[in-house]
Amino acid sequence: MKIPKIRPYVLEGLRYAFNPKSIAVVGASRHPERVGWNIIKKLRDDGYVGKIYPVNPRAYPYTILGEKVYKTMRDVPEPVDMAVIAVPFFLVQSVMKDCVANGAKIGLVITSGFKEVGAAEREEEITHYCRNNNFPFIGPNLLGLGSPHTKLNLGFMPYLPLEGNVAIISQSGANLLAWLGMSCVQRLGLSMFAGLGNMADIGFPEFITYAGEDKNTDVIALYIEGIQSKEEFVKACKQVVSKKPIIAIAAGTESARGKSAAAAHTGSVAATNEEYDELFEEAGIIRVRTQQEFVDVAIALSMQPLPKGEWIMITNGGGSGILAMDEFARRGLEPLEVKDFLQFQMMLYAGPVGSPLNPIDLTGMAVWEVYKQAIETAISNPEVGGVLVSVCPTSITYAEKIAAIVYELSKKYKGLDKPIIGQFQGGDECDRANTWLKDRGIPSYLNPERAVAAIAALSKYSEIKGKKK
Amino acid sequence: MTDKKEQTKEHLQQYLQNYWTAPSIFGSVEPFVVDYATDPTVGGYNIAKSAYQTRHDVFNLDYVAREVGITKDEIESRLKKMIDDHTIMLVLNGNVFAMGFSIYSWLVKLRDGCTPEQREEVTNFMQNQDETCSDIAGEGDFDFLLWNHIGVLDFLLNTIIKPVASFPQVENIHICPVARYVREEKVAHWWAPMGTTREFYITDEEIERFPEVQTYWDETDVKIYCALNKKRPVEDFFNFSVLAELSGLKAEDLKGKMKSYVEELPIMIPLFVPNWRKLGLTKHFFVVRLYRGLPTKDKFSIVDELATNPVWETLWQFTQGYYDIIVSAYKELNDIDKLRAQLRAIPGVEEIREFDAYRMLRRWTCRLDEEDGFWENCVMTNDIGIDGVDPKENELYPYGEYSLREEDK
Repeated sequence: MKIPKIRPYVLEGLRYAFNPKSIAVVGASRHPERVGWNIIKKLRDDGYVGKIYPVNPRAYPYTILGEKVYKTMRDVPEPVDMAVIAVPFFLVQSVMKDCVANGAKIGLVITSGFKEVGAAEREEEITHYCRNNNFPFIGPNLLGLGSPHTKLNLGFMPYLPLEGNVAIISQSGANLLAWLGMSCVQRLGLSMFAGLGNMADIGFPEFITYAGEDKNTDVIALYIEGIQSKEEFVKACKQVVSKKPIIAIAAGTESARGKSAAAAHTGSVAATNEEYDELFEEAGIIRVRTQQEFVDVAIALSMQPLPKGEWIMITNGGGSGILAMDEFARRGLEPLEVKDFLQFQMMLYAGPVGSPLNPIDLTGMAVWEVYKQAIETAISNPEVGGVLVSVCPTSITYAEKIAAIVYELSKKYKGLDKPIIGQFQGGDECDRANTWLKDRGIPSYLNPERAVAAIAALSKYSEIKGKKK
Repeated sequence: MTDKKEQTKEHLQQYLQNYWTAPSIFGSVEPFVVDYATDPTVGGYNIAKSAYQTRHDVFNLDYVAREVGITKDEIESRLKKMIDDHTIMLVLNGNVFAMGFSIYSWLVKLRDGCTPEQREEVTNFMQNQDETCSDIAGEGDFDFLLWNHIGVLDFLLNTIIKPVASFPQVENIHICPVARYVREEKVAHWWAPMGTTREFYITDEEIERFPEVQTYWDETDVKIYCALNKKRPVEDFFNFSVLAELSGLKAEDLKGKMKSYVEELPIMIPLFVPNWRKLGLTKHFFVVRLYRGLPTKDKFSIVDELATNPVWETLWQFTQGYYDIIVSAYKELNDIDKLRAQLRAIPGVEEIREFDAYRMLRRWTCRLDEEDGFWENCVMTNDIGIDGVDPKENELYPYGEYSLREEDK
């Protein structure tokens, strides 16, 4: 439901949601295959050390995973910081009343069976009741939320993602799960994550504002199927983007099928592509299109400084260079024009069959020492805004060696505050090199197009920040 | 697709007038007449089931007070004690035949000389096997009575029975498909004689003896138990205003659904089941074999005749099993010798086997072992919705390391 303005009591509730000292799980189950059992199991397994109060009149007076069970929220001996609600839809209304009676700070309604199945009236009644009683809730129809920083895995996510500084706020549980999995494999470190579900009460504006204030968050990444309070959304984004970049996928915009799928999924009405473009431009959001781009761009923004000039690409492969240049063009970016003394220097490394022009083609003959000299020359040149290092391993080009060089030089020239992006294309050795670099704070990708997408996002955010100034 | 309006039992089975065959499943109505397995409201029953432990007023307490002749407050107070003590449980028996299943019961006999530990081993296995729907443990000519709703027979044989049969202490297993589910827990079910479905049966003698054989319920509590189970309109069973208040759904909608499912079709039977083990009661079962040559109509007549006797707590008619009928009565409340003599006197009875049941492990996917902390823990078996085939035993899944079969991992 729409909100007229950001509500302070909701922001307060969100602080409790991500840092709860006590959690009630309403609908806690004794059966290991049920969500209500797994919530408690995952909380404990992943390291949550606060109090847990299982609530289920059927399971009273037993224990669940060693925790004493309470009949209802009214019987829980203290007001809880967070009430997780995993009961059938027809009990949610009465459970919400019990939560208000308990004095719970915020609710997380996992239950489905509301707006997404056409029961908007049911959802609205509950929302009105909760708003009248200043009891904020997230959901319904969602996956959960959490933070690796506080070891909080609240919902039915299989594991916690890698710890980091990106906040993911997603209307889709399935995509959130994908990103949590990709976080571990592709080294996207998260500060927090949340599924929003139907956004009956709390929506994007308040989550964005909260993430904007969160000390662990440097980048905010949104998956959007529909926006309810556009004005507040824009206002919240504008307040945040001068400090932290926001990236977003707007889904369900490409086809009628996509729109109807969004409506069935979370009951959302998606805007058109053009409307989103306009809205994101106004709000200062960087738009991405795919799951993979979402991750790639978030990694770049979370790890690297912003470019203060144009980019140079150093590669040993003509083909990867051409694909990268095509992608630069598609994204409206102008790579650096290499000339004068820099061109002369690069000619020494590229040799007679390579190219000293951007992309700098060191050719397949390039060994790691040549890469080192070329990268160092580029990074230390004041004309260069950022460096893209592309590697196509040959029998004389060792991916691991070059990755180590990129890392060493990034440390050496840290004071210059220039972004460096890696791009190792090929097999397992490239996967390992990309991962090794990401573990050391340098975004690195398997494909030139993905690397350029990340570069474009850095440039775009640089432009957004420039405008804000 | 068949139009919803046409999905009545009568309409869907008109085709049988043109064929000599029986419906595709034993003693069944056409499957999927009603999709109540997935219907989210199920007439308010689920709301009551999920709330009655703390909101006793989900039931029509005015009705119970009138019936018992004491105040509503006292009814509520006594009901609270019965529920808190775990001596009674609200249950819905859904007609699984209407969901495309048949019911197969099976009797397990352990080898003579089994040690208590060997018996316990089998008992614990059955208690924890979630594919098992209902399960009673006992001793005598048989040691366990189990029953399952089954869509595909392979599932019963391979997933459910095979692991039990592989225990060395198991001597034999008799599978008895249920043709008529006539009575359970003293309440008449779907294939009770015409017009008697949902009738509650108890004798004056049983009512009189009940308070004498245990300490949880006094005479008034027994009256409450009887009143709760008495056949009556659904509005006398539940308080739909409270169900509406709890759920936010409309009382009239809830009542309408419930009337349709419970009174008109009827495919749902709400009942109150006593925790007979806790109440110190034993169920004495008679498993009856009739002469093979007995005409089917005579077998039906025998079961109809048995159904007139309120003493029976369970009454099912089997088909295509070694045995034909199973009945039970509470041992402490009845004269078992007299009942045995009555059964033996029925013309057509060839053989009777007996056993005492002292513990109900599971009933209709609900675990009942109170002492292990699983009272009323509903465990849905995983066959519903996937055609009764359990992937663990299904050879359609030879996916190597991605196989769901333990032995392939």
